[in-house]
Amino acid sequence: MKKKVLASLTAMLLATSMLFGCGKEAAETPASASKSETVASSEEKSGGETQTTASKYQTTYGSKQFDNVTIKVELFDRSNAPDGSTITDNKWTKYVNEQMNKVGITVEFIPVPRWDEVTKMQAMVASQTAPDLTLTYTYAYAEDYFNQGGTWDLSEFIDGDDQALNMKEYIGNDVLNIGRNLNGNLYGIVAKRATTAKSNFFIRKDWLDKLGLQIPTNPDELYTALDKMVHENPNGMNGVAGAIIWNGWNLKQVFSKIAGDPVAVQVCGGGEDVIQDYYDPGMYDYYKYLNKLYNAGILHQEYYSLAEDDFKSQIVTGNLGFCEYSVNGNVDVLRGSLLKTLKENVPDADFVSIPQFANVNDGKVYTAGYGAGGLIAFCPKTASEEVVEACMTYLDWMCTDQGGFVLYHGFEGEHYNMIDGVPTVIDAEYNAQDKDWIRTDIFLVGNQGYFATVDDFNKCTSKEAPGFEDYVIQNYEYSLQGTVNHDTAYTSPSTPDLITDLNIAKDDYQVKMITCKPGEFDDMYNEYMAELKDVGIDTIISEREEYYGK
Amino acid sequence: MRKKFSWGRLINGLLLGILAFACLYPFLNVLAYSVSGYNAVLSGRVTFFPIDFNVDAYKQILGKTQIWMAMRSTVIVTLAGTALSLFLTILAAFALSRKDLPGKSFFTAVILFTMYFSGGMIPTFLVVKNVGLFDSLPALFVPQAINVFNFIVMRTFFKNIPESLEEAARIDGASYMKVLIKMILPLSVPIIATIGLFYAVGYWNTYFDALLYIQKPELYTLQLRLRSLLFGEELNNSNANAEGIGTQVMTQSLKMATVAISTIPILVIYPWLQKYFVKGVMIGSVKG
Repeated sequence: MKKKVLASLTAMLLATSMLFGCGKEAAETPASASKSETVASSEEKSGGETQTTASKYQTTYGSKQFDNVTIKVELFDRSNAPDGSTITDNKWTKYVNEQMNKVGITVEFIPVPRWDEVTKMQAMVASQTAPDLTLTYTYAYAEDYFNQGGTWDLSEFIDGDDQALNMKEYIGNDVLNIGRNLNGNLYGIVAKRATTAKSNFFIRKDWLDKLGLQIPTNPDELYTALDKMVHENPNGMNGVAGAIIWNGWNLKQVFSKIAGDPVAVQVCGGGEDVIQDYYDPGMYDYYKYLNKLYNAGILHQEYYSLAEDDFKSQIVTGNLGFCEYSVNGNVDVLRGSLLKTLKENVPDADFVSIPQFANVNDGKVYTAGYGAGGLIAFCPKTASEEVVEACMTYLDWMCTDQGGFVLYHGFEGEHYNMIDGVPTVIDAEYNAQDKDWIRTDIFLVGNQGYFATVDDFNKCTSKEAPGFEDYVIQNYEYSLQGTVNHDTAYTSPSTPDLITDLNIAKDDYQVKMITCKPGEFDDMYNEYMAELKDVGIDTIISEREEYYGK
Repeated sequence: MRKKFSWGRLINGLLLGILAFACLYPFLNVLAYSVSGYNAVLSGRVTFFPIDFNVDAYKQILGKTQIWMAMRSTVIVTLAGTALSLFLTILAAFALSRKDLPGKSFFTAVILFTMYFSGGMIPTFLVVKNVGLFDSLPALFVPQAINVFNFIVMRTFFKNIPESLEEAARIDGASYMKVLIKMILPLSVPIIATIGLFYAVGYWNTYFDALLYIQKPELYTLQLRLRSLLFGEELNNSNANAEGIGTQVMTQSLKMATVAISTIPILVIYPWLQKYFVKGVMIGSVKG
């Protein structure tokens, strides 16, 4: 008897909850449909207006006096605020408000833990509590929210000839257009990346010199050099690791068969290796080459399972001959100033970047580059139009010398001096405490800082690694040689569903292809391709081909 | 009394020793890393013993006011949360363990239902927000004050206390409240210690709820703070959207010190409760 009551009760509750679920969905659909209609109609209006009079919304900093508008702006929190200040109350948030108050805008910062921004953003957007200016690195979310009618179309705030002038000058139309969907709606403001340099080859120059070898210029010469470094090590070391291909971005360009076809590059250039593995027949040669290195004992025998810290250990203990790593990996302070530590352990060691090899198929040089855009900022519909106007004005201010430049570089005389036309840090220690901890996160319109040109960036960055300036300049130069094939930002609709399974197959077969006997390689490669096909990678390919018009 | 040497005992001892070592090693390694010098850490030379001993990492972390503020939030949540949770769980478990409570099976079913079906992240978020808990510490312990599993364990324990004890007290004129306070509770110390520890550890590790419900930096919990400290700098190299130049160097020692700081305080409580804990875990699962 009791059981029956319990069972029927549970069934009833279940049924009710299902009903609730349905009811909610049904009620939501018409609401969102009408929302997108209003967007469309207001767009037409503003489109008509711009031709005759000044734009409805004024978003160039200083062109409009607001009537005490408060905007809420997301701010990534890395828990690194120095004592005496918090992420939302410090010298720089005060500076922002001082400047924005001049045009009647107050900026309230909403801190979000950096690592969990996506989870938090999803909760906030879904519950309609997102800040007026919400940030993310995943464009697909921003585009999705827009398509569902949840965020503003910013084109009516930006596109007019008299709107957001500073933004257009600093970010530029090419980067701004990344934030547009196929209909031309601007769903977010994309930050400009100061440099798209991504990856480099690094080699133990001191070993090359002792062996009397030139800097390798193609995969075969690299093979010879590595073979000697490992088997006839000039320092008499045994068990040297040879090579670790930490990220194969540039090496893949060497073997690629599609690197010269811009559309094909876009189709497989989504930043997901597995798509290129499948789409680019040159990847057969890439993995075959790694297999050859592995079987000759000159590829780190467990490199695939190494953690990054262990990989770095290999470098600084002087155990590694060659690697492909992040563009400034050998001297980057953030990555632990590896070369400096290596020199402490092995005084005569030198670990330098070398020029990218020419493509083995067409003889031209291609390098891999990041996409030109950084993070994206968008405005949820919970913000009123005046607030959106103010948000865009805020971003426009960020693009000025008084705005982003100060937020990133600080004040002349206090944080930097102008030398050779670039801001040069006076006291790195002081800057780290005073402003560097917040500068990348509070500055929203550019990744890696406020720099008008790539050259400025290179010069300024080199000054941040004292004693290794030339290495930095060389790294950034080599990294962008030849034709740069940039990452793309587009995520095709079926990618999120399939990518987990595809990556499992990739992780599995990459190891197998690299570590199998040379005779088994073809079978492994074919199995891998078959597996990817089974999971459904063709759907992604056709979606991407359609998107890029192949 | 001295026991005789035997191979069995030696092998036993060795095996157990190896097991104990295997459990201890990661922790020792973490501690050693957290107090070692930069070069040694980067070169991966540290195993059990610190190399170039220094406590810079701890200074760097514990020197931050925000860590202490986070520690305060966590302690408040842990104490208040554990107290509230125990209070409510005991009351609910006691009432629902009595045979003569009308509607008992209905309420039990309602409570059990929440174990299998939850409201989901967004609806819960909306409820928390609309009742005014958003961005306040009670949001971290009021909504999930009763854990159904803990409730069931406790109810089962109460059920196993002989009925005749309670009857005797009732005949002598004790009220239900008196029965609970004077008889049931003193008999239930092991289960209260056990469930209390479950709750306390749970609240100590509050992370995801804090991520969702807390916005003011000064109310961040320790785990949330440490996690953002730990991973905030790590994104630079992860993917195509890498941010490039970041802000500060995050060394391995700092990570390890973070791990140590987040685990040690709760580890310290363990030995005090252990005797109850061992006993308590068995009770509730074994009838008899």
